[in-house]
Amino acid sequence: MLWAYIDFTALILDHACIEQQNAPTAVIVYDDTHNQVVQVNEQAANAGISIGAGMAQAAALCANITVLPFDSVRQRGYLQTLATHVYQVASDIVLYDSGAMAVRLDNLAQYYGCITAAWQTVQTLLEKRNVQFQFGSGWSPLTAKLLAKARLNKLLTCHRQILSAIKRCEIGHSDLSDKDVAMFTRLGVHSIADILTLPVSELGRRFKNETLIYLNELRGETYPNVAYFRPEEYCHLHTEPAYEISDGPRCRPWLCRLLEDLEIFLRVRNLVASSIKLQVHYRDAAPDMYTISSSTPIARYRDWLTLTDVWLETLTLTAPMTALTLDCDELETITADNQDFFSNRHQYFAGQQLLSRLRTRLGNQAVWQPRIADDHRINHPSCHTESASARAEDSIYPALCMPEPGVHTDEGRIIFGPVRIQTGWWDSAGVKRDYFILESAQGSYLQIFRDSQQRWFVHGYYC
Amino acid sequence: MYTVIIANSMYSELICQSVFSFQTGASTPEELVTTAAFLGYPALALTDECSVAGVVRAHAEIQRQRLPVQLIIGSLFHFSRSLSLVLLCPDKAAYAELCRLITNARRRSPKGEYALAEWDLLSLKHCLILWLPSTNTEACQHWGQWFARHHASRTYIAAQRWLDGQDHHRYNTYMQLSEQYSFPVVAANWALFHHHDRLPVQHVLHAIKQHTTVSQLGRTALSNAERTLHPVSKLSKLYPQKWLAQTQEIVSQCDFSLNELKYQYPAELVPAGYTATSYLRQCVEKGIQRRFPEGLPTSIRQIIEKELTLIEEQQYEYFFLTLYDIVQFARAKGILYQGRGSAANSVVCYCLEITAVDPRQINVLFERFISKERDEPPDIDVDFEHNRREEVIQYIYSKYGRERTALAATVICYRFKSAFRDVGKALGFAESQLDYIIKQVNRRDRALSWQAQILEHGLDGESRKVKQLIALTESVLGFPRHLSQHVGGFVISSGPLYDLVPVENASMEDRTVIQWDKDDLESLGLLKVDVLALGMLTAIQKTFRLIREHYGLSVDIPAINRFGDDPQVFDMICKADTVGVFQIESRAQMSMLPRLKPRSYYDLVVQIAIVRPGPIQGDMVHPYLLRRHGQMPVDYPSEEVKSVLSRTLGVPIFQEQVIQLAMVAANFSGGEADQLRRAMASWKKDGRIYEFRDKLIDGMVKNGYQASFADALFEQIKGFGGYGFPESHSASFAVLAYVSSWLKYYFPEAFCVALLNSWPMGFYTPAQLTQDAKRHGIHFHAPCVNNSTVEHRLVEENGHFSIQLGLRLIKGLTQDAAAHIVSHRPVRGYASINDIKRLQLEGNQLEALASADALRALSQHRYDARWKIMDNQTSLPLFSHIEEHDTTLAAPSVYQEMIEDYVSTSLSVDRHPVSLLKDAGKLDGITLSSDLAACSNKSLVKVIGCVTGRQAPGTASGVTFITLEDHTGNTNVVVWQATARAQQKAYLRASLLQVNGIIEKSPEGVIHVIAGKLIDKSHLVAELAVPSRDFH
Repeated sequence: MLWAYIDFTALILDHACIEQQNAPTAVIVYDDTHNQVVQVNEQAANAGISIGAGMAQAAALCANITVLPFDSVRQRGYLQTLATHVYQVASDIVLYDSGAMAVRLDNLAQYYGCITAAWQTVQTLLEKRNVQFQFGSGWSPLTAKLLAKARLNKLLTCHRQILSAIKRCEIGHSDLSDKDVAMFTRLGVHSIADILTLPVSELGRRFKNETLIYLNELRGETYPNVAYFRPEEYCHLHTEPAYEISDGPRCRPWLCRLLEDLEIFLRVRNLVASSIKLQVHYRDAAPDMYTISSSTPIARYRDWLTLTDVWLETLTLTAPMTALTLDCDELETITADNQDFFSNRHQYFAGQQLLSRLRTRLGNQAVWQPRIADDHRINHPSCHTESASARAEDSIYPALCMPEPGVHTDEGRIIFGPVRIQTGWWDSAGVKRDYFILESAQGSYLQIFRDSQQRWFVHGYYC
Repeated sequence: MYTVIIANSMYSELICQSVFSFQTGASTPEELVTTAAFLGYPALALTDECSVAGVVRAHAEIQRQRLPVQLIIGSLFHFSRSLSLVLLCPDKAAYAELCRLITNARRRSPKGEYALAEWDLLSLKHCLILWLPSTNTEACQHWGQWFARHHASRTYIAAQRWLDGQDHHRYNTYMQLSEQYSFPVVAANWALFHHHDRLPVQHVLHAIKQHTTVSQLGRTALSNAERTLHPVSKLSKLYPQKWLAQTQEIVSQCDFSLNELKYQYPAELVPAGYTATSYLRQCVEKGIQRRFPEGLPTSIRQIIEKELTLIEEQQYEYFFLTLYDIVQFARAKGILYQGRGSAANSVVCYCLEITAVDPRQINVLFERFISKERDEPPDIDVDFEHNRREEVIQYIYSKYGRERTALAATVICYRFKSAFRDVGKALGFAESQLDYIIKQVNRRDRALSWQAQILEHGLDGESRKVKQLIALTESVLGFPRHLSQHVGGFVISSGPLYDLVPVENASMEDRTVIQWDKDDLESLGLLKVDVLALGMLTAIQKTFRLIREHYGLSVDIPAINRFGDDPQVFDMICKADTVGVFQIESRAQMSMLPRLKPRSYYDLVVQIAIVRPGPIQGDMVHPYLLRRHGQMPVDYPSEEVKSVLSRTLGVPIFQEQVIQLAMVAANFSGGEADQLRRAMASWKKDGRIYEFRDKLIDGMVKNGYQASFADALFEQIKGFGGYGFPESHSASFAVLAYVSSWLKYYFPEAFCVALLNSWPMGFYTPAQLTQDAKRHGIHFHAPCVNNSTVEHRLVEENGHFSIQLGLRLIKGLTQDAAAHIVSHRPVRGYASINDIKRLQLEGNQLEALASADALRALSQHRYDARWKIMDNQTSLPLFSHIEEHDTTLAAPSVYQEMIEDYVSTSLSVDRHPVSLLKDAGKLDGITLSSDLAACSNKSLVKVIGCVTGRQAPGTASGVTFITLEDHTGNTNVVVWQATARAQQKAYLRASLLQVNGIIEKSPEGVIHVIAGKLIDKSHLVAELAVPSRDFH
């Protein structure tokens, strides 16, 4: 067997900095759980920031750096996307949480002519994706990993060459536990060659079974079990630019990347989709959700791009955008004649789906779902919140709330109030109002309020 | 002056939570009482939740500003979901009852929490009860009946109107319960802040408490700003007149004031047949016999009489007797101690053996330390050997009992970092962004405020959210976060402490703290005894013991003092050869020593005090040095100033001098001077010091002093803030500085052993201490399983002493394991590794021994020893007889030996990285530290060394001082801010640093290298170890 181990050294960073020329000078990915920098771009490395440095040191070395938070889930997502790509040219793929994958090459030789050609196919595919990686090859994912960690970056296919390269590796590059590495170091043992010269029986009297098993695997005497990658059935793609974007059309490169990935996802499954959901994440506000629909199910990236370009033209970002998410779960198999929306299939669409489509056609502002928000502000509805937290005083909510309060001039009798609402200073909808329930001369019940300038408005009507 | 708003109705706020209801109240006690006075409230009840932590501040503010408002003390309790109530103290008995109740509730819960039992409420006999009915009708009936049955005459229904939509429902409940149980209804708005504009602050604090953001608080947030102190006119519209009037009925019942609290000292201190005064006098007389065996000079007798009279007038006898009792215990146990503080440097303290400052060495002026006019309480801190202080604490607990003894609290307040982080999180900023900005902000940058700095690091100053972040952080700065324990301030009373102040659990097991901090105690005139820990006392005591054991001489601090100022010791001090010496060992102090050239004890007193932010910020250092060396005339603007400054050549150095100057030169009264002293201590927290600026400067100018002198004095006052350093402290510290210098000079081996055995302490690591000792010709032996004891020890060889390092130095080896190895060591020592393994110590402990090369007598080398130790098979009894075979592991190189030394013991006896590099021929053109003295001033040099210190003191305007160590000594490098910024990588990351720079030598011989080029040479050390392993 021959495996290639591909270690993606800057997965989050590579996805963030699609446009290198626009990228800020120095960008780092920071893992706050372990207080260390885990990925750096070239500018950051030139400033002296190295992997493993703390935030204080990084900040001290370079005053103007962009910090991206490390997110293992997101990294896993990016890795899966890459694996989906590689899956087009190779079948046996193993993913590692550390942001790496192993690809079996020997069984591809028959398709590509030789192992080298197979590897070059994989390598070319990855290079097109503009991701940084280091790699190694070996008779097991484990040996290949060791050489990748040692930054060998050479495809070795001969057993003797591989063994020779392995022996030159430092033990720090191995998968031995930190404790084992420390123990070997304290014995003056620094290289894999040093370890392999020690008699196994002597090692067995001093080290745990796990260590011996690993060394056996390294020698190729045993092989570890691996779980092969299987592509997802549902498409969820996410990307985070390295900097915040305040102009809608500027997010097109990241959107293109997502649509490319969507196409690959659909194509390898022989599927099409008639709608995608795009979620725009902001720094200071809740994300906006958009549904882009196609009258006929499609898969090609260019077809989707035609639709999204229209959307981009009208997209106005309400706050600086920090991330973009694409979800596609309404998948259809490609058939000769994909049927019309209203012909025979409308019964399949649940209310939620219909609502989404209405929003796409009419715009979000045109479709409201009345719910009481968990907020003191009566004019603060939200279709994303549940009404579970509503309490007794919710009785002051009128059955019909006007979208814009009207000036109140009628006379009447106040039968409830005041309820003073003075909150929301943290967002753009802060209020300071005294609410009342008024019984008008006509016998109707109105919700009215007085603002801080002592003006009176009608806000709603009770049934 | 306060303009009182006259209203038809009278109202007093009876439920009010301050910032001492942590993360709930949004105004300080001071703000609340000040606003209450402004609004014309006759009284205000401060009722923090299960706490009286804020009442002293409110009380002190009322007294300070003479506010026409009565403070009522009370506390809010949430007994259960269905019962909340407030207890108010009408009299002293009720206050004691409240303190006891809070103590019980707090003591039975973890730190920061409380738990009331029904019995606690049942046992109330004196407190007034304001019942806060819940919305649960059934529960209201239950508790209504309960209160009617147990506390009918003292229960009131506290009514709120908050315009939150629930007022109608609440009103009906109040009326029904009042009618049913005949409890009067009283209006109580339950204020959480003093002004409605604090609503955002309250929201933020609430979000911090709930670990969420303000936007996520939803309906748990206050819906409006009604929880504030309202004008009476507004209250009249909100509440029925009868309910408002009822507040005054309650106020009329309350006449308790904190002024009534009288501290009762433990009576057992004074034996039967004595008064406190007569017993103190007797103790002093006894001390005179010991301290002045050759007879008491008349002048000293006069001082003693004067001091005793002052102590009697101020009724401080018990305070001195308490300390006397504690130090007598320490003496009996052989625990070294040293008193310091405002009252410590008196002859009485010397006679009571609280302090070792001989009055014949220093012109003691007791009144300088206890001032009747300034009405300051006496302050005496006693430092004990740091590893034996616990014995003293346990003595105090056992003598006075836990009911009568507790530690003072320390109020932990929001500082910039914590405030910015918490407020930022509450506003929804990402934590990583906040952390990044916090790490970017240089709080010592006087040119650029933090507000301006954060905008330089990616925050948009125009954004609403960023503006809110800045404003709210500013608001929250200085707010208390929680109570912690004072480092060693004990309050001891004659009766149970919880009658005086609530006591609660500290986070440290078996420690209890009261709810007041040292400022509160001071405000109420309550005395605390500071029992502190000092590592140098441990080192000195251990040195004395070694001298006794190995040299047969008996020395102690008074004896060394009696020898007088030793010129040879001062020669050493003047050369700044003071590594390990108390106080004057820091780099800044060492740079000053050759310039100030101390030649006497009092010079040391000045030396210790002058290298401090106060004198440095006040630009007092150079004038003092010039005057001292006769390069500037010593003159005084007036006789009054002369009386204050004559002992420091006309330059104010000490905190007391600054205070006295304010009195004599700017006409501050005693009370104002005391306020100035307090403001000095807390100006960074509250900035109150600026209230005194104009008065000080105008007063001095009016009296004919130069404005520049007045300005400099005010800057110096600010410099003292947080680092206040009075002469009395310096005087005590100088004793230890001199004693430790004397020991270093005459018994360097013993002193070094004692320092190493007392570590952690002081400024230097064991590696630095041993390097210094080696430069003084002291020889060290590495730890050895057959020669070492647990502690480091002196070894006599050919009439000279060398140092055998102890097993305690080995990282990973516990004290117990080390003791086990030593106690089980055969007379001829261990013969094999198997002997060691038979001790049945844990494997990692034995491996630590091997890596420290402590088994070198039993193996080929340390790798071999470790390999054998790791062998599981020979650990089994059945195989333990199997002979050990030598391994094929390669012996460590010299470099690897050094690395292993550092990894396993943090120091290397035989090797230094720079000496290895020199031997390897890698230091061409480099000047070693010992050769710098031979270089000419302003010449170019290249120096290299291990970076042992990077210091950027706030007083140094961005300059960083880097200390480079080579095997010949330390090199002091000065790095200007621009140099550091341009070469950040080497500046921050190098562990082995080469500096190309210009040598700067002062006339006194102080050598600095002004850095030009910084070169990171850390890789050189790695190159010594392993050849490059590149793949090609």
